[in-house]
Amino acid sequence: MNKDFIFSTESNPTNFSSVKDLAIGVLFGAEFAPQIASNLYALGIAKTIGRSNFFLRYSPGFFKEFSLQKNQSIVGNDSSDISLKTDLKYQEYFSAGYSYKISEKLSGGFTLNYFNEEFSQDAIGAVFSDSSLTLIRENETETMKLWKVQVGTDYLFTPSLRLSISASNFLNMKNGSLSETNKAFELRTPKNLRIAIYSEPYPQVEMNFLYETKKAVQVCVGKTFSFDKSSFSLDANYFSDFSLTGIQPSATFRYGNICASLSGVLYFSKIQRTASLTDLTSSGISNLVNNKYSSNKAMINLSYLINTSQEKLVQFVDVVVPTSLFPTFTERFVDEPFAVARVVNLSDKPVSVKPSSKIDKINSELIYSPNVVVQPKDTASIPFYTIVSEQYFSSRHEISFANFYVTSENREADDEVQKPLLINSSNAWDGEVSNLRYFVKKDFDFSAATAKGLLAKHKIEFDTVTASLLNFLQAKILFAEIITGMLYIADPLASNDRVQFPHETIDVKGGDCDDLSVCLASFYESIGIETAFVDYKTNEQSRHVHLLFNTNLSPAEAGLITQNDKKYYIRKNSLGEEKIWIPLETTERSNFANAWEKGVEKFSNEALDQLGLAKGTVQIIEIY
Amino acid sequence: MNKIMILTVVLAFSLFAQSYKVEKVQGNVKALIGNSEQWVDVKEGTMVSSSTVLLTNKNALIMLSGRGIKFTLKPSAALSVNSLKRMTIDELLLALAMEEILSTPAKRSSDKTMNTAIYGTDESGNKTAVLPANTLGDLKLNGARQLADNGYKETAILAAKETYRKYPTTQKNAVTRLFFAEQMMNLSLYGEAFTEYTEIQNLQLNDTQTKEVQTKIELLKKKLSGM
Repeated sequence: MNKDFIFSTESNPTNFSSVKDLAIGVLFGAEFAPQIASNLYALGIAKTIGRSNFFLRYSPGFFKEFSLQKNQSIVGNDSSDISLKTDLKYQEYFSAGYSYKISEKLSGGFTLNYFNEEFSQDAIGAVFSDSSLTLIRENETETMKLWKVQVGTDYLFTPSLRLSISASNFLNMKNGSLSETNKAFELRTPKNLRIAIYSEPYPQVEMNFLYETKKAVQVCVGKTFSFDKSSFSLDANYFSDFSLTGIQPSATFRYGNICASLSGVLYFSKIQRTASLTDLTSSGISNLVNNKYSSNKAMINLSYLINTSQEKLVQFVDVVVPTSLFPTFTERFVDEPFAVARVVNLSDKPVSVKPSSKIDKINSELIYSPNVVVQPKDTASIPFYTIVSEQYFSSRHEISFANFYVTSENREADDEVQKPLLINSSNAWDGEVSNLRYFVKKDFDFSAATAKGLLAKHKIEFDTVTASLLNFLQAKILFAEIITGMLYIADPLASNDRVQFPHETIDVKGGDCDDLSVCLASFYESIGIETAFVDYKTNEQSRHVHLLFNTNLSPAEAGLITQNDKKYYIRKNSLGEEKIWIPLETTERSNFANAWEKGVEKFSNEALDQLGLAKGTVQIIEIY
Repeated sequence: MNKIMILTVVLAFSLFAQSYKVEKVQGNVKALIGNSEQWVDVKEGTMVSSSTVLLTNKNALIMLSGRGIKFTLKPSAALSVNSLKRMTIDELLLALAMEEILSTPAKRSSDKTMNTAIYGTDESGNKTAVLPANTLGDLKLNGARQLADNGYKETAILAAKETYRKYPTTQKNAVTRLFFAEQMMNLSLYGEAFTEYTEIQNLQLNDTQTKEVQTKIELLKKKLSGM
C-alpha cells in the first residue's frame, strides 16, 4: 500500500489502509504529449489514529483542459477573421478519505473528490453606435463544483486475502448551474459498483483482480524481494474499460521509512491527440488522469512513513493474578511469579518478549521479568515477578491495580493489561507457617540491636561459661528478657490472618503463638542462632506453632544442658555435623525451663509418638 | 467440684492405662520420669508411666506388668518404657522416615558457626550425672537388645537408632550394630539393612565381622535387585 497510497482515492475508494501511523508523499508526473509537460501531480498525507485512518491529498496536477474551435468566426474592425472557441477546464483540487476498522477483519470507509469544472464559450455580440453595428466576440463562462463520493467496505478473510466492495457516484453533490450547451461537457459520473480481490497466494507475491459494473477490469501481479532493511518490488497492472486499454508497470524500492516508486502508463488503445466538440459532447470524460485523450506518462512517487505507533507483534491472551497480595512476603516474589500471563505471537517470526509490570502503591517503577521467546503464531505462558521494597508498610488493606506490559523489539509496549488487585496490610498472613519467616526477617535490624543490648547486660555470665554453651545461654537469657512476662493476646478477629512484627510484639508486650514465635525467632536469628518453626496442623480450626532452636552443642555435649535425653533432638547441619536442637513452647511465658519442657511434651507426643512428622500433621519449617 | 473429680478420674485412668506395675525390683534400679533431670529409686508395687526411662545397674533387674504383658529388664540396661509396645512394619517404616525428616533439616543457604569466641573456664560441669553419657548409651543399647530378644524387634530397632544419634560413640559398637542390622533383615527391611551394613563396613571390624558384613551386603544387593 505504502508505495501507491497517494493514489488512494482512485485505486482504494474504501480508504483501506495499512499505514501504522503517518505517511506523507509527493507525486511528480510527466506526460509524453507532443510537448512534454511535467508537473507536481499531488501531495498527500495519511494518518492513523486508533481505529480511524484519515487521508488528504492536494492535487494541482490532476487537471485536463480542452480548447476547441467553433465553426463560427466574425470579421473584426481590421477586417481580420476572429474565430470563436470553447474552452473546457477540469480540475480536481483535493480529495479526502476516511476509514474505520470495525474489527480486526472488517473495515468501512469513504472517499471524497472535489472537482471544479469551468466552461468558457465564445459568442457573437453586437455593439450599436450612432451610425453602425459592430460585431464583437463575447465570452461567457460557467462553473460547476462537484463532490464525488465513493463508499465501501473491506473484509479480510485471512491476512493474505481481502475482499473490497465499493460504490461510487450514488451520493454525488453539485453546486452551480450550467446552460444546456455546457451540460454536455460535464464530467461523466455513472453509478458504479466495484469488486476487488487482493491476495498474496505465495509469500511476497501479490495478485489482485478488480471488476467494475461500468465495464472495466484490472489485473495486477507483483513480486517483492526483501533484504535486511530494504525491499524491492516489481508490479504490473493491466487495465481496460474496453475502449481504453493499457498497462501500468512500476518498480518500488523501500529502505527503512523511505519509499520511492517509479511507474509509467502505457496505453495500448489508440490515443486521440485532439478532441472535437462533437466527440466531447457525445462521450465526455470521467477520469482526469486516464482517458482517451491521455498520453503515455511516467511518474515518480516519494513517500516517507513515520512509525511512532509500531506494529504489534505480541498480545496478551489473559493474565492470571492472585486474588490478593501479601506485601510482607518479599523474598517470595523473587522466587515465585505473582502473576502468569498467556501471550500470543502475532508475527511470522520468533519474538523475544520482555515482560514488565507495575503495581500501583507498591512499585515506583516498572519491574522487568526474564525474557521469553515465543514462536511464530504460538502462545506461551509468561511469569511476572515483582519486588516489594523492604521499607513498604501499610496497616490497611487496599485495592490497587497491577499493570502488565509485553514488549517485543519495539520501543513501546506491544500490549498492556490492567488487573485489580487487593493488597493486604503488611501484617496480613495467609496462614502458612512457612511464610512466617518473612515477619522474622522484616525486623532484623531492630531485633539485632535490641538483642545485643539485652545480652550486653549479661557479660559476666558469658565470661564464665564454656564456649560451646554460648548459643544455649544466649537463647535462655533472651527468652527471659523478651518472652517472660508477656501476655497471651489472641488475634483481633480470632483468626490466623494477622501477625505482629517483632517490634510490635515488644511494644504491646504480648501476642499469640505465631506472634511470640516470630518475635523470639527474629531475636535468635539476628544473633546467629538457627531456628525452625514447628507447625501443628492436627486441628484445621486452630493451628499451633512453636520454635525449635539449635544449641550448637554436639550430642556428646548434651550433658552440659540436660541429663534427660528425651528433652532434645539431634539434627544435622549442612556439613553433616549433628547438633542438639531443643523445642520452646513460646506461649509458656513463665520461664525458659518451663517453655522447654512444654515444647518437649508437645513435640514428643504429636510429632514423634503419634508419627505426626511422618504423617504430615506436624511439619518442621526452617526459617532460613 | 464434680467436674474436678471427673477430670481426676479420667486422668488417673488414662495414666493407669499407659502405665505398668513394678512387680519386682532387684538391686539398684533408677528411673527418670518425664522431663525430670533427677534419677530416682524405683520401688516394688509402684506404677511407671510410658514417659519413664528405667536403668538397671550391674546385678539389678526390674520386672514390669501391665497392658497384657510382662517384661523383665535385666542388669546393666536402660530402657524407655514407651518402647514396650507392638508396632507394625508400616509403623516402623513411618517412624524411620520420620527420624530422617527430623534429623535432616532442609538445606540452609549457609550454615552458621559461632560468631563470638568465648574464653574462660568451663564451670558448667556435669555435676548431677548418674552415669557418664557414653555408659548410658551402652546401657540403652543393652536395653534395646533385650527388647528385641523379647519380640519387640520394631521398637528395639527404633531405640537403637535413637541411641546411635544421641550417643554417637555407640555407633562404633560393631557387635551391637551387627545385631540390629540382622534384626532389620529379619523384618525384610532390606534397604535399611543395606544402609546399615554399608556404614558398619567402615568401622573397625575383625575378620569374622568383615566376612559377615560382606556376605550380607552381597545378599542384600541380590534381594534389592530382585534376583
